[in-house]
Amino acid sequence: MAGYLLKRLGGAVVVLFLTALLLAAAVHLVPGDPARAVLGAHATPELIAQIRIKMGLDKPVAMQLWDFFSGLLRGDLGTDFVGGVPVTTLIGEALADTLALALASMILAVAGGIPLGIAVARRPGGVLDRLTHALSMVFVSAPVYVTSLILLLIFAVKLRYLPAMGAGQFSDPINYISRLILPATALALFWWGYLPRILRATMLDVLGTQYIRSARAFGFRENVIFYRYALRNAVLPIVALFGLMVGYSLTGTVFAETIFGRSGLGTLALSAIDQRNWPVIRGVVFTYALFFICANILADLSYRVLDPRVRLSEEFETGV
Amino acid sequence: MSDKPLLDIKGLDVSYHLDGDVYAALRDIGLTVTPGEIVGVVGESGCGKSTLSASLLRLLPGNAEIDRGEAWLKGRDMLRLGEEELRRLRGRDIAMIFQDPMQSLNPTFRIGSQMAEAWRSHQARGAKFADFHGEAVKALTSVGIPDAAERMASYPHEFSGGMRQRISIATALLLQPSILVADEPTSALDVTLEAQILELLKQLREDHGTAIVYVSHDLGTVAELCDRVIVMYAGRVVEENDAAALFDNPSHPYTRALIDCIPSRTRRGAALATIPGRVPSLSALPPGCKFAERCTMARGICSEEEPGLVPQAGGGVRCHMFDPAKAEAWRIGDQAPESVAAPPFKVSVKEPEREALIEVRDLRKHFGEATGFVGRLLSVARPPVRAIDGINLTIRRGEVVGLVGESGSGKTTLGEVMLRLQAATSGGITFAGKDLRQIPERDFRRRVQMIFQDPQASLSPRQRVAALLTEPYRIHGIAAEEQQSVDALLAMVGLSADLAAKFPHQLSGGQARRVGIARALALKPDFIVADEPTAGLDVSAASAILNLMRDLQQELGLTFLIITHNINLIAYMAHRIAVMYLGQIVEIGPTEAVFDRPAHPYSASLLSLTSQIDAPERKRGRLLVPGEIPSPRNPPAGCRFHTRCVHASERCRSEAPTLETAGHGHEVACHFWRHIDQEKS
Repeated sequence: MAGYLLKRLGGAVVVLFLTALLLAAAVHLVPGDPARAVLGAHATPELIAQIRIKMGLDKPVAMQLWDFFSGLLRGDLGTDFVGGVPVTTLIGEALADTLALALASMILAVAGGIPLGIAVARRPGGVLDRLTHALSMVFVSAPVYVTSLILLLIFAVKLRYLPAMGAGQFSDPINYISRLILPATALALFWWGYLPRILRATMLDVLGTQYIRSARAFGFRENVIFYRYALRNAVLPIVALFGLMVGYSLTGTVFAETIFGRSGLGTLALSAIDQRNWPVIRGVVFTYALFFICANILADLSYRVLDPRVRLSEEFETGV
Repeated sequence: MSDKPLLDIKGLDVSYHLDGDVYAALRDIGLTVTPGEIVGVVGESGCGKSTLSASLLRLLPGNAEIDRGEAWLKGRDMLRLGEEELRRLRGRDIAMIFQDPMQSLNPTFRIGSQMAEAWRSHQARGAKFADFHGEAVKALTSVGIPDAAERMASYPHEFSGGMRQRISIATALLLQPSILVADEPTSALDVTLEAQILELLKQLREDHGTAIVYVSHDLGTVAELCDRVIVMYAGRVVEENDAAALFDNPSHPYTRALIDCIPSRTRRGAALATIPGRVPSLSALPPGCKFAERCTMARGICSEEEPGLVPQAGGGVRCHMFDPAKAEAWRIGDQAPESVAAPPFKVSVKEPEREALIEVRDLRKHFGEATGFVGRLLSVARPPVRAIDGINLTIRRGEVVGLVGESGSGKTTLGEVMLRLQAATSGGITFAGKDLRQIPERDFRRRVQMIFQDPQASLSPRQRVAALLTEPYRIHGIAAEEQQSVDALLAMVGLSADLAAKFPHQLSGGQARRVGIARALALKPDFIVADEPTAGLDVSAASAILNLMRDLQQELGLTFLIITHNINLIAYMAHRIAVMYLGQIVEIGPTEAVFDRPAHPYSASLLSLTSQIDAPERKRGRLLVPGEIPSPRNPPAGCRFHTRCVHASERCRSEAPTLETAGHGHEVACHFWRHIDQEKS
C-alpha cells in the first residue's frame, strides 16, 4: 500500500509540474502582448513598459519560469495585476464557497442517485425503472447552465421558495445553506440521471453472478444478499467514478456561480480571464488541477480498501 | 438402500420461456435420494442436468417455470413452500456446491464472514458467535484448509480453485445438510485436485451420512463415486440403474453410446464410437423417443411414440427396444454402433520415421525477467516465473507426442515457444534439421500450425467460415492452383459445404473445432500443436474430433504435439507421452511403457487418478497427490516434486535429479525410481 501511494504521489507531482509549466508558458502562447491586453488599446508605451516590468515580462522566459516555480514552492502564486492582492489570498477567499458548493452537489448526487439506483434495481422493469430511464436521458444531456436557469426561474423567481442570488455568509448557516440548495441541485441533476442507471446495471450484473446463486443455495436471507452481498460489489465501479465527479463538480461551479451570482473560484477565474489577469488565472487553474488529482488518488485508494482483489494485484505489481 | 427416501421428486416438468418460445427443459422427472446415498446425474450439455440440480433447491432462474410435479424433502413438498420456508430449507437440509469454485465465493468478503452469514441464516436469534468460530475452524480443518483459524480472515482470491471448492464444502459442512447437490464440482480442477475433492465428498458421506447428488458430464468420476446413476437426455431420465450395472451393462442405446465415446488405453487401436447429430432443441422436440434420430437401433415406433419408463433391476429404461424378459438376447452389444465397423486403427501400422522433425535443447522461458538497469534495480527481490526450465524434447516426423501435467506445469507455454509464438529465454530449437533462428519466420509459419484450446475465440467473429479457411492462403500468398477449395477443406474435416457461409457463432463447439483444424491443415503443415483439442466438448463431439485427428494423422503423416490434462486422450492417441511438472519433463517414454510401468511417482499418481470407465480399471488403487503445485516463481530446491512426494528423502530436497534411462526410449527424472519400482512389484 505504501509503495503504491508513493508511486501515485510521484505521478501526481509530475502532473502538477506539467500543469504549472503549461500555465507559466501560457502567457506567451496566447497571441498578443499580455501587458497591452491588461491595459487596453489606448495605453501609452511608457505605461506598457512599466506594466511589463511589473509583470516580469522584461526578464528572459527561462527566468520567468524560474520565478513562477520558485514562488509555487514557497506557496506564492504571485500578485494580482489589477488589485495588487496576493493571488493566494484571492483564492483563499473564493475557495470556501466553491468547495461548499462542490461538496453539497456531490452529497446531493450520492444521496439521491444511489438510493434511486437501489430502488430501481430492486424492481427492474417496474414503473420507477421506466420513469428514471426516461428522465435520466434528460438529466444527463441537459447542461448545467440550462438546469441552473430552469431551477432559478422555477424555485427562486416564480415560487420564491429560495433566494436567487449570492452565496451568503457562513455566519448565518441557514441562509448560507438555503443559497446552496439550488446551485447544488443543478450540479447534482446530472448524477441523478447517471448514477441510478450505472448502479442498476452493475447491481443486475452482480445479482446474476455465481456467488449470489451460491449464497441463495446456502439459504442466506434475501435482504442480506441484496443489501450486503450484492450492493457492496455493485457500488465498487461507482467509487471509481468519484474522481470524475469531483472534476465535473468543479468545472460545473463556474456556470453555477455565474448564474447564481455566487462568489467563488469560478467567478474569480471568469473575471480574471476577462482582465487577462494572468497570475489569478494561473492560480485558479492550478488549484483546480490540485483538487482533481487529489480526488482521483482518493478514489483509487478507497477502491483499494473496498476491493481486496485490487490490493493483491497491486502487491504483484510493486513486488511488496 | 431400503431407507425411506430423503428426497422424492415425482413427475417434475420445468420449462423455460425465452422470446416467446417455450423450452421443455425437464419432463416427467422422477428421482429419489435415500440417506447416505450418492446419486450420479449424467448426460450431454443441453440435456437438463443443471436445470435438474437447480430444481432440487428450487433455485431456478426467473424465466423458468415449474409446470407440474412434486418434490418431497423430509415430508414437505418444496414446490408448495413459500420463499421464507424454502430459504430455511436451503443450506440446512439441502445445500449445493457449484462448478466454478473461482466464482462461487463473494470476492469482497472474507471467507470467515461468508461462513458466518451462512451460520446466521440458519441459527435462531442469539446464537453465540463463539460457537460459530469453533465450528467453522473445525469444518475448514476437516476439509483440509491448514491454519483454518487464521485463514478465515482471508479473501477468496487468496485461495486456489481447489481450496475455494473446499471452502464451499466446509460451509455446507457447517450447516450439516442431509443432502448436498454437487453440480460439476471438479470440472474446473486438475485431476490431482479432482481426486482430492472426490475423496472429500466420500468422507462427507462416511462421517456425516450426507447424501450427495453428483452432477457431471465426466462418466469416469461418476463411475468411481456414485452408487446409483440417472442418465438424462433432452430433459428426460432415459435410464436409471445401480452404477456398476449401468456402466457394465448399459440398457439404453444412449448410455451405451456415451460410454463407448470415451477414449481410453483399452480402446487404443479402435475407432471411438460417436453419436451422430446433436441433442434436439428443447423448443422443437420431435414426437416419439427424443433419441431416435441419433439412435442406431431406432425402429418405426421410436419416432412415433414416446417410450415410457420400463422398470429394470436398479431403476428403469426409457426405450422401446428394451425387453426385460429377454435381457440377455436383445443386448445392444450384439449390434455394434456403426462407427466401430470402420476399419480398425492400429497405432503400430505406421511407425513414425526415425528422422527428428523438431528438437528442443535446454529450452527455457522465464516471464517477468528483469530487463535493463532500472528493471533489475526494482526487482531485486522478485524472481521470474520459470514457466519452462530446461526442456529437452525430440519429436520425430509422423509422431504423436502427448504432453500432460497439471495447470501451471508449463505445457501450453512449451507448445507456444516451440511454434515461436513466444520467444524463448534461452536454449535452441531445431526444425527439420535447421536452427529455428535461420528459418525465415514466414516459411516456418507455413509449416507449423496450432489448434487452439478455445476454437470459438480463436476464429474471427466477423468472418464467414469460407473466408476463415482461405485466410492462410491469402496471408502466405499461395497461388490459386495450389489452394484447396473450401469445400475440400470442409469435407476433409467432415463438415458439409453449406457451413461455408456461416459465422463462427453459428457453429457448435464441435463444428468450430473442426473449422479450426481445417484452417490449420489448409497449408499442409508438417507439425501441429493441439492445445486441449477436446476441452469443453461433450463426449460424443470429443470422440468425433479424436477420430478425425487420428485419421488425418494417419493419412497425411502429420506430426502432433497434443497438450492436455486428459490422460485418457493421450493413452488413446499418442505414440509417446511426456509428463511435465513445474517447467520440466519428469518422465517421457512410449505410451505403452509409461502406462505399464510409470517410473516417476508423479506420473504414477496422475495415471492412477485418471478416471476409468472400464470395469477392470475402475476400482484400482488411487495414489493421491497431496497439496497443490507450487508457484513456478519459487520452485522448490532439489527435485521440484519433493514437496508432494511420499517417497521424498533428504537427497531429493537438495539434489535435482536428471533424466535417466528407465527402459527403451523411456526416461525418468527421479533419484529413487528403481527403488520405488521394486517396492511396487
